[in-house]
Amino acid sequence: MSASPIIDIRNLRTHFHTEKGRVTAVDDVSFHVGRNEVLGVVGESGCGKSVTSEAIMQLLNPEITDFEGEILFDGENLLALDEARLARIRGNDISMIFQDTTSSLNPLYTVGDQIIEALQAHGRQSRQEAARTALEMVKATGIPSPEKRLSEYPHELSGGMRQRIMIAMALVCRPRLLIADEPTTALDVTTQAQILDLIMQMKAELDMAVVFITHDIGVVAEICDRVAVMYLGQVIEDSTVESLFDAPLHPYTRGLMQAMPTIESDPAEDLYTIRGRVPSLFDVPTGCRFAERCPYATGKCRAEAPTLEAATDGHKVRCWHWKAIAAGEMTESEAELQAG
Amino acid sequence: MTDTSRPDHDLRAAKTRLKNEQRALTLRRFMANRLAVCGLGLTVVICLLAFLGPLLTPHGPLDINPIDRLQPPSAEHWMGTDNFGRDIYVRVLHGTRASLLIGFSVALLSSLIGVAIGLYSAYFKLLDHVLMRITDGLMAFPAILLAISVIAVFGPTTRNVILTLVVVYTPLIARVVRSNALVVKEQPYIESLRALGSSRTRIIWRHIFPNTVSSLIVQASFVFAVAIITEAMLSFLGVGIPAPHPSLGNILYDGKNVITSAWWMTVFPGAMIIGVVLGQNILGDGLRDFLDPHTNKAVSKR
Repeated sequence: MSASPIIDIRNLRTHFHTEKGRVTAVDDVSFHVGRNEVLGVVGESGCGKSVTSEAIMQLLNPEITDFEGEILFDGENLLALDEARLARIRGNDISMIFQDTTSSLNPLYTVGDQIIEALQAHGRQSRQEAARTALEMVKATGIPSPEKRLSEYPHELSGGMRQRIMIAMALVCRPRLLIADEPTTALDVTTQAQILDLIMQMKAELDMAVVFITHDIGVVAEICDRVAVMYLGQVIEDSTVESLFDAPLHPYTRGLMQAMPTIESDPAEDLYTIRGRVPSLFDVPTGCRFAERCPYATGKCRAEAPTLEAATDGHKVRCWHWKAIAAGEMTESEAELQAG
Repeated sequence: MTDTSRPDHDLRAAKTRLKNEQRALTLRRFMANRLAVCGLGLTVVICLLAFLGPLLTPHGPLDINPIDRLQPPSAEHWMGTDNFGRDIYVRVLHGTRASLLIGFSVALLSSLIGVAIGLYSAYFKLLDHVLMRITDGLMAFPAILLAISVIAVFGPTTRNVILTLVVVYTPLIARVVRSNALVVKEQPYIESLRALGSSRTRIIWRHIFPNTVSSLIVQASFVFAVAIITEAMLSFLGVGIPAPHPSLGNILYDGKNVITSAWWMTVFPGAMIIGVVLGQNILGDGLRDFLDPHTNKAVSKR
């Protein structure tokens, strides 16, 4: 029973209809999150991590979006549900926190009102009860003088406090899954650490699963159990944190790791960079999506797209040559990169 | 016991003081906005005059006195008399009262309908297409012509005048509310509300609507002014408030025939229309400056 995942995404495709034509922002993404597990979703801007999270919450404009595949939440396919059922799941069973704390709270209401709103949207409590629950929740987030904060407006709070309020809002209905969409990106480093601690503490208290979307691979190492690395709308590597940091298999992940400065790295030396740039979604390569930038790319990579295959137990990778690369049989070939 | 309640009490007192100070500050900010104060002053004076002014003279708006017809302004008749010997002063004030009532009803009703149309068409795309094409059509149609034809069919009563003007001016409100709502709708906090599971109705009325109120108030004050002008035009054309009941428009119409010999019949109602509309327009401009944070800065810098 406890082995079944809380959310199981199977072959999710998300297409947007734009003026320039149909764009597939998320292409064949599959991952699952077990109960009480923290999954990190990593990738650079535009790789589809936010779209995936918005697809789970069904927040995308249905008039311009098509979905394929399945998003099973506790066995229920979210893509097949009607708006009324979805509204009951959102905030109640699945909650989300956002990156931008400034504009994610309505400036016209006090933060207390907005937390109460979250409770009343699910119609479980009277206003007094809701106010009490809200206060408890805000206390739990560790804000100093919580009673006073509740009657303040968003602009009167600092970014870190606003993020705590957002977390209180998201968790006040005790969801089973929290989606955190880069919750610490807009905060300074000390506050980041506090917010991460808070999320982990809340996760333990409420016994919920967390999908943590970020582009900070250091954060992933710190708090996640498993990681899905995304590139251009696809999951290219999916593994446990230990396995990924011990032995990254995909050339892109290896590149990301190398690009991270460590305490031992020589300050005078240039940081490693991945060559080239992410192709446009309007011009997706036919073969492997990373081939153009990959130092190991061969003709096969450019012609045929690899699938996500299991390398070891619990470690999946989308690359033709992961075995050879891991064994050190292939070297970075500059000449071939330039030719391609 | 007393030890713990004492600082509590102090805190509450400080809070009330802060609230009072904030209120005083808002009032001061409004008073510093000369435009708004002038407009408000003018409107209030005219309203008082319209509702209390007729009590100052013994004449009624419909009292005919053929002997005293076309008298110039005097101590007896402050604004002279018309071609039936009716007192212009009383008639102008009663006409103003009718105009204000019509303007207010039109502004209120078209705001109510316009807000609903604007909010829902911002939120539902299909509805938007239908409603906005209807408002396009209404806006393309000359207001006066539409009003004349509607009243020609349903008869010239005050109620019909109001309803026609509501139909004509609702699109103005709906457009403004819609464009504001479209902006607010894309704010991240609306998305986060959806992520919390708030229902559409709740989001639309509790979160989008309050964000459109400031421009709504401004637009409504302009509709108020324009409705008064249109009502005067309709009455002038004989399809507004039916004679013999006074309205600024039909006093002007009566005065038109004798304009060379009795100037007071056109000047006083004309001046009153100018006064009412000017007051409303200035108030609307002032309110816009007051409610819009961007123009605020410009005011305070001066």
